[in-house]
Amino acid sequence: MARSKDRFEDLPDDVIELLLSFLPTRDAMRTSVLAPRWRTLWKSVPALRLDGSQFESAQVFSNFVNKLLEHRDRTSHLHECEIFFISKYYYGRFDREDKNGKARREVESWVQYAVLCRVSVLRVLDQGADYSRLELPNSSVISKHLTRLELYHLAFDESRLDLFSCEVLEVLEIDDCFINIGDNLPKSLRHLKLIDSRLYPTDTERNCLSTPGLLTFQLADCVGWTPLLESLPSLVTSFIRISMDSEDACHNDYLGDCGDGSCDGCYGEDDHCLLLQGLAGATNLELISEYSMIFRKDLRWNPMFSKLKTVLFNDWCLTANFAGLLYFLQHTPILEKLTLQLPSREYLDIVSSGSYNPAEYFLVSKHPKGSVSSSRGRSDGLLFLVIQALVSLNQCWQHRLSMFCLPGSCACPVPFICRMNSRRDAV
Amino acid sequence: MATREAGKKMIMLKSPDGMEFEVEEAVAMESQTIRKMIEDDCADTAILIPNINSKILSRVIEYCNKHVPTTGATGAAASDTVAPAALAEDLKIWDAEFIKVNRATRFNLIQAASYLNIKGLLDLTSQTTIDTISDNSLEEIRSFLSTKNDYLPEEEQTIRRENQWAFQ
Repeated sequence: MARSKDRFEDLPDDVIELLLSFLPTRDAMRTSVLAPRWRTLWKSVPALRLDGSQFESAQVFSNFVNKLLEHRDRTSHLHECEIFFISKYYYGRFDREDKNGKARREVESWVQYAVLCRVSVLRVLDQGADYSRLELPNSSVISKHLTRLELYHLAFDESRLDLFSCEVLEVLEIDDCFINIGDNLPKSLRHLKLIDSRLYPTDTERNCLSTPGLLTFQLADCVGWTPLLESLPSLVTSFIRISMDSEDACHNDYLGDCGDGSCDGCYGEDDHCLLLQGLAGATNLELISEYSMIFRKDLRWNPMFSKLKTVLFNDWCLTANFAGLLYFLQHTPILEKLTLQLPSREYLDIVSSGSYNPAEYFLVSKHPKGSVSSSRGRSDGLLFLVIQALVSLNQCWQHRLSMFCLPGSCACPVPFICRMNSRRDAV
Repeated sequence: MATREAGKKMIMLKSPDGMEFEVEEAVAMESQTIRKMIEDDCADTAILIPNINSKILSRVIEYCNKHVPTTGATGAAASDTVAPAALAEDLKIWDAEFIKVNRATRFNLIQAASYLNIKGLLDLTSQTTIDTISDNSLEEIRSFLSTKNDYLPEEEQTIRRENQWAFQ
């Protein structure tokens, strides 16, 4: 039989160990009963994948992990460690937190083990209930050997995480955490994701991010003050979404500029360009804001987007007579593709405030291709308004933009990239 | 003697079935085994790669060719590269296509990656191999690895008892 030719048994021990490292550790460990050669192979598998969902209770899981770490060969290389932890098992049915700190101590000791083994990739996920997060001390996840750190649904102390001492960290992903990432990110950092997290400090102080080698940056739906982006000279791609949970959001009006002088989101601190100066050197940007005028405020600092090729906005760029959109078209000399994500709302009032004179705008974008997408139906009216405004804005548009037409009514020879993400409502 | 043209040094790789492959030194050095040979000056003439037939060797070279610019001189693993997101994404898609091969070829690629010490390829082939196991039950793993159980029944019982904590 063909199968006899590819007996995995014939592979050297280190390759078998690598193979086993892609299995959850419990399953890898169970191979010890396969044959005498396998009896101790699991002890030097270069990854720990501890998955709480494979066990019937927290007690059994914890017992397993503690025994495993006791018997594993500490001197063998550990490349990756992931801990899928289910805190609700620990907290009990009616408890809402880790009252006696048992969960915290255990996970901390497992992370400690991995850090002592100079692990490169560390992933800690608490799959607990929404209302509580496993609390870990800041120092527990700091290691100068880490290249990748992923944290999900955890809470850290309010003091700054000393990530600067993670000298070789390249990828940092933080999702659904309470965390203070501080100002000093490691110079080695290439990819940063901050999603759905509460960013300490929550008073008026902001984190200032400045990291020379950062290539991609994702900031979405975070609570607290938006970090100030200082210098990101290598940045290529960035996705920013400021939502109403941000301290920079306006709580009165979807579009911001609410007229209420006490609104910090609209009229608070105004002495820094928060995001756009730091993002100015990027090639691809997606800038989305809801209940916030953060980008519009930033434009007052006149950033120039000299490398920008593709950009996506939602409707913030249309307010105040298309101010944001116009600004970008004037300050993006090599823009190739512009995508507008229009809301489903009909009531967006763009050009109501006064009149504007399209002739006064000089467009520096040479060959942009337009793309208008609408997340839901019912926006044809708005879409039409945008297109009409763009076309009337400057005659050059008719040549520069490939062609504009409404989805469904396209009869132009050069089809305009109109993406309707979903069908329009039947009238 | 390896030639130098347009600043690119070429290396000759030879498979046991007599095929010769001329590749850029940087591409060949994706293999830590070949890198060491070159650094130790053992690569003056063609390097014979034992146990890897021309079909597999050409696939390995294809992989190295694709991965050489992003991995660069540091020899970092493909999974941890510093490439921009789009580029890394393209590589992932390319890898997924590359590894759509039958079981025997995949096994040979593992052997080749192991001998030539190409971490990215070894990770890719190993991960894909494990992903084909439908469930991770012990019997499934045993049959997949085609491992004979040469424990005596009482021995197996002893091991199970010793490691009881893993079988709960």
